[in-house]
Amino acid sequence: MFGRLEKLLSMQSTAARGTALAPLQWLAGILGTALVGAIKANAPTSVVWTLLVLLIAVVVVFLVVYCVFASRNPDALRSEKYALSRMALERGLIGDDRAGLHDPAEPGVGGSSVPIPVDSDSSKKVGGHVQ
Amino acid sequence: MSSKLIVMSNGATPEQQNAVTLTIKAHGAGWWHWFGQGWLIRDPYSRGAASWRDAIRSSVPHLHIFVVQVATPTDWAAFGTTEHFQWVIERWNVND
Repeated sequence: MFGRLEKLLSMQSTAARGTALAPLQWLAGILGTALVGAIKANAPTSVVWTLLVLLIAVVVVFLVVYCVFASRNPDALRSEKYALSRMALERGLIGDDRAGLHDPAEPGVGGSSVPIPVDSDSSKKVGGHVQ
Repeated sequence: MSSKLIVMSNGATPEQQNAVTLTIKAHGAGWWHWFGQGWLIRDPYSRGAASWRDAIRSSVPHLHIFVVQVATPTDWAAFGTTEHFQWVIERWNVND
């Protein structure tokens, strides 16, 4: 789309994180891997059972949290990148071909100086060739 | 000589505003869009109001718009920050 918009989105994507459930997914993945490793390494039964119980607990918590977010805040289940991209698209970008496009929420885009009356005579003051 | 036009929209959503800006930009014209529902166009190809209406409608079919070509030099007056009107000061009433 616009160069400015693309820049905005790329900046946001670098800062983007996964969904609200990403930490639980990582934990489940680590526990699952540890469990498989423990079984293959013939670890003590207590270790295997501990890992299995923890994995089941994480999966149960994951399902509960998923259901809570699905009913109360579905956007939290989408990636943060998606949310940031949507925010950028939902705001009308402002600017001109000289200054480029800006997100109105950007600091300073609202104008750093005090509003003053400006008129067509101002063109003469900046040396513009007025017809 | 370039044509100068003012485009106004009625109730354009941010997505529609972005689409209008993109359309103007894609048609190779100079543009100003510091206010949500308004655009200034400086068209080096001298296209008229109907041409721009059709171009914008092709991108945003259902958006209500009003395009008016203005004579030059244009007498204009505004109230706001100079940053927002620098384009108008430097490019609106300037000869081709």
